[in-house]
Amino acid sequence: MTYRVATDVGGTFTDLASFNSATNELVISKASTTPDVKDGVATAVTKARLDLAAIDYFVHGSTVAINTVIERKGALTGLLSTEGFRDILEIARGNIINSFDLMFTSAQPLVPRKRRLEIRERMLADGNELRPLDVESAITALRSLEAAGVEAIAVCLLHSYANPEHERKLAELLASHAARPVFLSISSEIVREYREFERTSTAVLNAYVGPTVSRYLDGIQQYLATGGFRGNAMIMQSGGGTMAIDFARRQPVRMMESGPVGGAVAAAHVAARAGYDNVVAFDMGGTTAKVSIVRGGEIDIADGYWIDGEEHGYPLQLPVVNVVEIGAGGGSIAHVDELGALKIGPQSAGAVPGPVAYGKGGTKPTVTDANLTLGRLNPEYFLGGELALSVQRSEDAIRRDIAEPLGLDVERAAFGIVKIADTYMAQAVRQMTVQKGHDPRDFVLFAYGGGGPGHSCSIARELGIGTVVVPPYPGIFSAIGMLLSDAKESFKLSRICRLADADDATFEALFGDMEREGRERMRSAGFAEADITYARAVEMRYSGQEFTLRLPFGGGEPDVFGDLHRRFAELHALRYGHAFESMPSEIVDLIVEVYGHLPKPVVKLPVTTRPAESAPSRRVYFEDEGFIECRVCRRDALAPGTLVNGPLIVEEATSTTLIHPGDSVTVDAESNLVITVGTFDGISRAASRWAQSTTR
Amino acid sequence: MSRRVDYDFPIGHKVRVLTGGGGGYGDPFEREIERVVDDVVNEYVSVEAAEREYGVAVTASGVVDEQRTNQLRANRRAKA
Repeated sequence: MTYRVATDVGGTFTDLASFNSATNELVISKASTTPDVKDGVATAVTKARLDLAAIDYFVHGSTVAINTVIERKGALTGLLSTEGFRDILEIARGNIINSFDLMFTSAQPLVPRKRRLEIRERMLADGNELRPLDVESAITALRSLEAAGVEAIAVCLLHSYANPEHERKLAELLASHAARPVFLSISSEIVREYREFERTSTAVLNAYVGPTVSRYLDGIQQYLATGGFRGNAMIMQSGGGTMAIDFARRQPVRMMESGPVGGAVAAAHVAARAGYDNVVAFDMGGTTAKVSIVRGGEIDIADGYWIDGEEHGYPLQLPVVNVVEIGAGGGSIAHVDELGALKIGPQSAGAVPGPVAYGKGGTKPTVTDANLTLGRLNPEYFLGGELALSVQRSEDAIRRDIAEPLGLDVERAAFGIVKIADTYMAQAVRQMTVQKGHDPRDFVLFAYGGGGPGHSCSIARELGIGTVVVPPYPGIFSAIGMLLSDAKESFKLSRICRLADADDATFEALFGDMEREGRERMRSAGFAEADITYARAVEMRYSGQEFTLRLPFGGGEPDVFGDLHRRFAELHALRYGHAFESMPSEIVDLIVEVYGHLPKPVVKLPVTTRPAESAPSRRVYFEDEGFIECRVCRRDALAPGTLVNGPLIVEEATSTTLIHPGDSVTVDAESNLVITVGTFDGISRAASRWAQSTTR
Repeated sequence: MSRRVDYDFPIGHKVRVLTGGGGGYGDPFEREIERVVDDVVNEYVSVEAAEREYGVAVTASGVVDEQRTNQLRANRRAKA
């Protein structure tokens, strides 16, 4: 697996990064996302001058699964449950997220009641059968779902996490009796963890996106095969790590957040090399901005997650990177609403027609148009000069749609657009830090995505973050993260067991089974035994508690369970401030993570000796100064160790970094731009403005 | 139920709670026919209740007898 390629498809751009571990060569390219995604991928591959036949390993990330849910464009789906449980999707959980909204309505289940049918069978929580699977009721249900025209069937039977026998039998029956091919989503194949509603919802989400994602992956595979590709095709998973494309076709629900996680993986990797523990990973693309967190070197991965938000969405019982995503990207459209307020997004001009400046038919001003009007983007060096931008068009659109209705001049209107976008994005960072009990001042802000480095300093200033880091290749950073990702299989099995009753042999067997399954999948994805590693963990609680804490399991100590009880008490004390020495504790879930390791590219830029000011200066608008003359340099002209004070613009092919007056930038040994934000100066200036305005 | 807090249920007994269908707004005989049909095919409303309470003659699979539905609804208006 010497020669690897990663492609990341966003709403606006398709990014590519390739790495040859024999030559240590890293190549990148960027193309517009196309309606048929593989065309954009093909353009990116051609631009990077890659020969598909020479590639050993192809990683792909895309928003296809999550968009299918958000746009409610999934397959006509049926659900089979245990008799008496067809309404579990509707009963859901009793808590109301938005209790002060009198008009609140919860999300409509993805499967309406008429396509939720019941099977006569019953498994008990201890894994014993109470009532055998009734074949006749299964066939009847299949026939009526077929008559309703379903393309996908989700199966979630009671306590199948404890004993999946009935689900397996039912799956076989459905497969062998189906009149035409139907996508089957079997809960116990996806998740072996208790909690009926979340488990059912996960199986249903998988079925709902299944046919669409399968067709999409077929398209990608066909494209690869046509180009002579004979390597391993992998898909980025929402919880970090990659999975084989054939597995993704059966469990597409695992690729819901495959884009954002790539950026988080890359941020964690680059941060570790540069010596940062706590990182706000801030990604601003063409359509949205996304924020995720790295703490103590670890990406913040949630064990449960709501697709399309907790208020209107559906729970997913799988590990997913914790990410806040908002509709503020370069292509987000600015408009004056019916109350005369300036608003940004969530509508996006996307790649087509794109911002007005592209001259591809867009007429509504976007954040990119505002940046161009303010001199912050170089009209002749957008995407490295591939796309010439028209300042005139941008200004005209802003004047017509924003400045004139609000009675502002064009500069103030354009700055207003940027300022609102910044505030909105700062709010997203606050949501991931302050609202979760983390002080943003303990973090550095990693800025990437095409737009991130242009907006990060003002966001950092707003939150009191003192350091902004712009890593190498910011415009395709998520694709870099996919190259940096190992293959990963995660298993979780609910087996509630008091520590006092736990015995080595049982646990060894359960862990061993999961490890064997993981090893099989790694081997079939082409990994050698030496490159496969395993990590065991358990989730524990005191008997009678509901929620659990995760602990690594076993390191060869003589009294593994006694040791667990002690470590659990320590962690409980750390997390909650107290622990109970004599209270019995129990294991709830067993977890195995299997990794297939790959050589990592060195994410560094070649060092050059060119003089620092390699591009002509230009007039750029800043909040306090208005338009001032601003130095501009190409990124490759900044040598490590150089210190330059703002205002300064650093340009590279896929992104533009804006360093404000009062900020300064240096380049570290890892080729990162490290910006010291004049935070306190900024705060005192804001304070003096506020003082002036109140004394007036 | 609400007067007592503790009940003993021997193993094998079933507890069945029947609640109303929830409040509504307006005359059920004026509810859009498609929405009544939707409630019937999703089994929120029985075939009998659809006819009795909403004046919609519909089979369990959602086939509407339009003539009879019009007649039911007209009769009700005539009575009012």
